Amino acid sequence: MNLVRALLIREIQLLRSYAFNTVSGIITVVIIFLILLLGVRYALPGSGGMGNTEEAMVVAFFLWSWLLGGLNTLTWGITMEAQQGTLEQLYMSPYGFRVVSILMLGISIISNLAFSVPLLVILMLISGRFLHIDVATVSVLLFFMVLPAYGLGYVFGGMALLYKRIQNVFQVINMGVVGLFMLPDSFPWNLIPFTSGYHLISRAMRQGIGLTHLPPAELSTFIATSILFFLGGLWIYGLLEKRVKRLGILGHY
Amino acid sequence: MIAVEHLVKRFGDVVAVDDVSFEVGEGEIVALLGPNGAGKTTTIKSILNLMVPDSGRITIGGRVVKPGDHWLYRHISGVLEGNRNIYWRLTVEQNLQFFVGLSGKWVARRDRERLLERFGLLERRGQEARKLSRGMQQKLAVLCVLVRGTDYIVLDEPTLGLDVDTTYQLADMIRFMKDSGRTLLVSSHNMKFVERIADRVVFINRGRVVAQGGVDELRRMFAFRTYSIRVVGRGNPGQLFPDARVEQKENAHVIHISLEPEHLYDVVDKLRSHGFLLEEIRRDEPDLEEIYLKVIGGEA
Ligand SMILES: Nc1ncnc2c1ncn2[C@@H]1O[C@H](COP(=O)(O)OP(=O)(O)O)[C@@H](O)[C@H]1O
Ligand SMILES: [Mg+2]
Repeated sequence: MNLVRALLIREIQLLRSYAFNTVSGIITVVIIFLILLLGVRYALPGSGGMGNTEEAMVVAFFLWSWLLGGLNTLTWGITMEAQQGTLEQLYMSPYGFRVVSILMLGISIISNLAFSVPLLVILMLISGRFLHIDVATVSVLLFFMVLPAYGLGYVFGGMALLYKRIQNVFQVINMGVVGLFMLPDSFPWNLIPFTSGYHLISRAMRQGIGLTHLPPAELSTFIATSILFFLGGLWIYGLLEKRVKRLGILGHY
Repeated sequence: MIAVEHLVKRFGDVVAVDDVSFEVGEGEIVALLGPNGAGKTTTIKSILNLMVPDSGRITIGGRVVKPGDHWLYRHISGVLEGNRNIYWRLTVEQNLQFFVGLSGKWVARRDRERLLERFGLLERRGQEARKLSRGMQQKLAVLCVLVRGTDYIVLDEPTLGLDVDTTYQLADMIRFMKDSGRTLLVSSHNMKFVERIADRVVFINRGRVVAQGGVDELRRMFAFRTYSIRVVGRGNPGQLFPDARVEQKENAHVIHISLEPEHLYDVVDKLRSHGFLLEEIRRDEPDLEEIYLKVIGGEA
């Protein structure tokens, strides 16, 4: 519990320090959204599909920001800690870096929400497309949506330790996530939790389908792959970390 | 006890640590001394299990250090070289709270304040660490390790970039830790500092231990058989001893002369026969700096 308390102190303080980044991040995303929205309205004036497209855009932007938060927490977090010279200190916790980082992720949901929720509200306001938000359904889906992002975050965090400058690759991955939303909702693409999760959340938010009314097979595939991605990410991180410790470059940056 | 046995670590062709063995006894402060690139940080990171050595064995309080064993950190913690080790965006107090919490512990406000007061950080407790001087940051980093309450503490070059004053404050902190029963391994370049804190010294050069022992023991080992003889009398005693260096001090002369102890009588006889009055005879003890130069300077 003391560990959780300590991590909370840190998260809240860092959130305050970087509040400006949060605000400017939201503004950036909103501007991109506005440009696309105007583009859509201009290109497809009055067409029947417009409403759908715009709703899809709101969901996609919201989920994208949510996932980026999840991905960045670790990749950016591990890089920052290494640069600051605090990573080794985190490793020197008797609970081990695994537990410490997982708790940090849990706590980072606060700041992730602090970014994504206002963004969602703003996007709905400017597009005039109000979505169904059943808190329980959306929370569960969002949780399993971000879990594989954490898994990937571990992988990229570990690669950042090993190969240092991976920022550029990482930028591409950040963009690539949106591409995964476009993939069809069928085998084998539905084995990617970002894809299946996007389709499920779309249905929940656009058609107001509750958790219990979503197709159980799809839902359980989504949850299972989500957990697998997370555990897989942790496992790969373990391998990368071993190598990093052999090379003696933990905390070198 | 921290025991390092036959530690070897290579980075490609570079042998950073080459069969290093030494011990840090319970309640002792041992200093790890050596020039840049000697292998101090590599040794320390291996002890702290932040690096996996190629071979050798490290035990801490009887517990063998194994890769990935994080329970080890209930017993040992450390401040790493050059790294800032603390969060710049957190205040002094938040840093303390964070690091103690990282070990699953908590320090009551009163104790925290007493500690901050003791080491001159109390007025700064609400300030972000990045706004502190380098010396204060380093003191805070050491405090953050201290509050974790481990029996073994390792500090890698804690005096790097500190002014004389803070260096002495840090020495005070380290004595304080020893007095509260901790066992410490400290690497440093600062001989005055090491002389002030260390019970024993391990000299390391090019990945090998080149000498080790208690500070006094080393002084004796490396005594150069140089004597300082203080005399008063007419004339310059230097003429009697062409090999000696003579200093005038107030109304006396001090003769610095190297010789085997059995020849000391000859010197004394000669001085007496020339009417010099003997005030003091002292064997010069080398300071750590001189020993260091002798042990390492020759090779490096
Ligand atoms: N991670 C690393 N990769 C490659 N070489 C390293 C690494 N760490 C240290 N070295 C090399 O090992 C030798 C010992 O370094 P180090 O232990 O840092 O010495 P010291 O701390 O005594 O200055 C040096 O030659 C250094 O360049
Ligand atoms: Mg070093």
